[in-house]
Amino acid sequence: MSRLDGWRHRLRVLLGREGYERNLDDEIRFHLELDSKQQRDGRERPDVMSARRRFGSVAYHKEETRRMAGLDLLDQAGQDVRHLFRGLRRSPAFAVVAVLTLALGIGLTTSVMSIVDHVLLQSLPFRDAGRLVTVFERQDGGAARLPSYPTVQDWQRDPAVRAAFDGLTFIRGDGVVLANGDSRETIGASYVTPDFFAILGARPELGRFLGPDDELASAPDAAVIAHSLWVEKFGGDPRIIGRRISIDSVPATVVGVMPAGASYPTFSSVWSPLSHYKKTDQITRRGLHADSRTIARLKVGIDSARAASSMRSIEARLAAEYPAEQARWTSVAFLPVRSEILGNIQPMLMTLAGAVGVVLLLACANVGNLLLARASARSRELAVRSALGASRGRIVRQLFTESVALALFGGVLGTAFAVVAVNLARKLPSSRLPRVEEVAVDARVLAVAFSASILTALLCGIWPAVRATRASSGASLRVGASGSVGTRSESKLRRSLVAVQFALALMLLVGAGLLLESFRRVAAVPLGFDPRGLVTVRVAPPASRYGKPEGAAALYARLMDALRAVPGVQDVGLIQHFPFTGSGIYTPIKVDGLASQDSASGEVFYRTVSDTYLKTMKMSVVTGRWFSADDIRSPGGSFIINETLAKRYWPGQSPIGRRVVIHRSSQGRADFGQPLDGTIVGVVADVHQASQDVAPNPEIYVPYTLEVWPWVTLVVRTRDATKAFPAIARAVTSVDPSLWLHNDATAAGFRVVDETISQSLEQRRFAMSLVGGFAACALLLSAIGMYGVIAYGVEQRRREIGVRKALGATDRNVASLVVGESLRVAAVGVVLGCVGAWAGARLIRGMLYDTGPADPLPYVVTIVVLAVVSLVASYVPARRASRLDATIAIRGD
Amino acid sequence: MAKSSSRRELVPGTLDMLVLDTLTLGSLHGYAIAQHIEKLSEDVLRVEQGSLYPALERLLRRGFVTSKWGETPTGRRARYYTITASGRKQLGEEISEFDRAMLAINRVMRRV
Repeated sequence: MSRLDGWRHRLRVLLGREGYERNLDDEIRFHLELDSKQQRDGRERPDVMSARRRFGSVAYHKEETRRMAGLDLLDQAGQDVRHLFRGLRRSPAFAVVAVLTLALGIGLTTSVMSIVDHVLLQSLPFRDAGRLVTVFERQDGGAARLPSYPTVQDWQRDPAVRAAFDGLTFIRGDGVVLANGDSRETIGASYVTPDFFAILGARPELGRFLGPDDELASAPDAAVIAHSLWVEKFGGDPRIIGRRISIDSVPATVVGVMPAGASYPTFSSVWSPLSHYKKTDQITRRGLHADSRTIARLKVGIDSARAASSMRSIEARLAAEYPAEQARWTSVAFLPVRSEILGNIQPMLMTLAGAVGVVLLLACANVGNLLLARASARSRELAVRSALGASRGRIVRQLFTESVALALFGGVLGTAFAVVAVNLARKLPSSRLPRVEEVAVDARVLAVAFSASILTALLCGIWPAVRATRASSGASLRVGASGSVGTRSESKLRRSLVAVQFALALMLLVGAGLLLESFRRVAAVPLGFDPRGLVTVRVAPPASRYGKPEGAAALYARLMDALRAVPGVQDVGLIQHFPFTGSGIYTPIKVDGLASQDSASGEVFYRTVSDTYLKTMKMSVVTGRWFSADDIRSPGGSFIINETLAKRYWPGQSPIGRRVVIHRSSQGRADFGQPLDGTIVGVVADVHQASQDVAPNPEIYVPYTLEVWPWVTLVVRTRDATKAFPAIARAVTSVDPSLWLHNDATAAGFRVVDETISQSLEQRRFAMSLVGGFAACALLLSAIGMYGVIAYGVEQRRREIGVRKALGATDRNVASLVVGESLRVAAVGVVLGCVGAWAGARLIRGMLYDTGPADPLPYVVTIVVLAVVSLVASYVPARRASRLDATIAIRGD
Repeated sequence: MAKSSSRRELVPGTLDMLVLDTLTLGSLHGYAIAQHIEKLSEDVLRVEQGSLYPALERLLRRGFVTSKWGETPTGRRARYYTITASGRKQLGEEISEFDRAMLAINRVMRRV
């Protein structure tokens, strides 16, 4: 009860501030009146004086009463806030710079770290994702391959394997045509056994996953679809469960939706039972090592090394049992599923994380510097207030309010900034940043960045206040008055902060420079062909009508003829897997005179091309010849290889006339895997296949008529690639209207090669521009810091400068004194920064191409830039110093 | 801070105790409380009457008393204070606390 009474009272006081004052007045007046009547002692008039004496100071007791009521704190807080706004209004530049700096630091850190955290660190939507691995077979020579389904089935039956894993499952991948209404689209499909979902450890977003019943031959075709497919093709309709869709012209029922971000393998948009997979020959063949995944879940307490050793015996047994397929493939390798999904994004994200950390540090240093500057500028004001009776606690609290307010403003603005930045980032294509579409501002990261800035603000805001009030206020007053060097330690601290800022800025600038240099060098790597004006069109004719190789080959020839007739088209060629599209297929190669084991890592890219391909691409022949029209008409034993392959097997010799055996590689065909004998007739210059920063793989070209691929990439050289689409689409459908193409140029089947290549540099460009942006911010902040310190130093040394001038120093002497000071500070920063930059560059080596961490150019440019910045920053203070009037300066103010 | 200590009552908390004790007589306004304390302590505890009001505020906050505006017999507006149940409990505790303190003071005094 009593507590309630007390709180009710407090609430009344707080809410009825005016009423409270009035009541207190009334009550005291009443008291005094009564008492003065009481003290009359027979005199005529009430004894007011005596009553007052007995009461004591009305003002004091009122104040005490208010203090009891807790109103004093409220008043002071109000005062602090008023002070704050007055103070900030008086120096808006300070407030704006401080708040913006903090906002920048907090915003950048929060957005970048949220993304890094989400993409790299946060668990995938799989239970215990760290234990999920992709399994590869490994040859003792070091080459790795995907295991075939029969091998995986043997593994699954092995007790040692069962002891090491909570499950191991095979996934067959394929491209299927999804028909939905009028639209047809090729999507990635996975054929899985029901244990796949348990091993993956995901939960259906909607409906259910596939179960043992779905495997039965009598069961209707069931499909689980990806979240992205559900949203993009079916509008996120919750009634999707039970809906009939058509996969490769076979109806299937949607039974569940895979949650966002859980698509594994990443190419997959739909999951169906492996037992219903039509192309059974592709899963029963032990020699088939492509378009599949085998994943496993490691048992708790078993690491990948132990798991690998547990598979030694079964692999040895299989090698003995099936020498043709398994000889020497006696060990396994694991790749964490996490790494497979994230790919090579890690170096870039770590680079950004490091860069943004540097920006946050720099922002903190800058704000600290500003606050210190402000505190010293106000040391006299504080001393006066202290002398006039403001308690130390009171002054500290006022500065505290100011610092916290700045930090809060900065924080709120920074949060807004982070939200905007993260929302922008979500729109990035996932090719640039995987899993980014689910990212959100991370509360923990925000809290850390916020705390860092508040801590800085508090340290740098309050420390001077404590110092100012601890020092005898008299000394402070005198210091302020004379303008002599009384706060040497403080200016030293501030100069060190600026040096640190310069060091951090240098690190970022050098980092950006190294990335730029790498980018320049990567982009300058010759492609091996000329991408200008080149477009590619992927055509997949329906197997029902073009299932026979001869029919497909005839169609391809007609398509090329039709395209050649399109105005503006200069050349037309074809290949099955075009470079820079991330696709390709390997064939084992056996070279005459070399044992096949020596071709251990000897799997080479297998390309089927037309005779016109070389000319269309503007590739060049190194030795020998390219395919002729005759080679296409009657394909025989003529192969052409790239330089890398030539150097691998015939270093310093001519490969022309050498015999090799490769294998048919189109998995859908009955003759898959059959050997192809041939003679090398030519060597062409390397073409980069994946990206310019990855060395080309060995490659072998065969006439497209030798093995007719079920689909084809038409390569067209045009005068204007971007305008070519409509005419090309018309030409393709004029050959056969059923060769469906999307109606816009953004469709997957149509690519402008220049853009594809530019996209392959996208990640580098992205990292480079972000770090470059950070570096620009850093440079600006350091310039502000430098200006502040130097200007303040000049202010502090007015008298000294005056004396120097009186003793005959010229304007020039004085100016160089000031500029020299600035350069000294910058030099310290540069030395520190070079060490830091070198160390940092070693950490981002993964992002560098043909550029060492100590590549001199970025360092030299950066140092010059920083020297210029410090000169510019000290120009105004130096001018002011050189124009000081000696007499006025010495006299002081 | 130093200024205020000289104006405080002798033993900290004594005034609060006296106020609570006074209010056991019934609801009273500030002046009446002051008068009563003065009489009660026979002018031994001389405090400025004004310090009664911070003490009352303190008691209000702690919920030991409540206040209400009312009229005096002469028809004037005055603020009346009433002790609460927890105020009475507190009074009991403070009196025994006070006795102990006095005992300790006496012992020290005798030894000197």
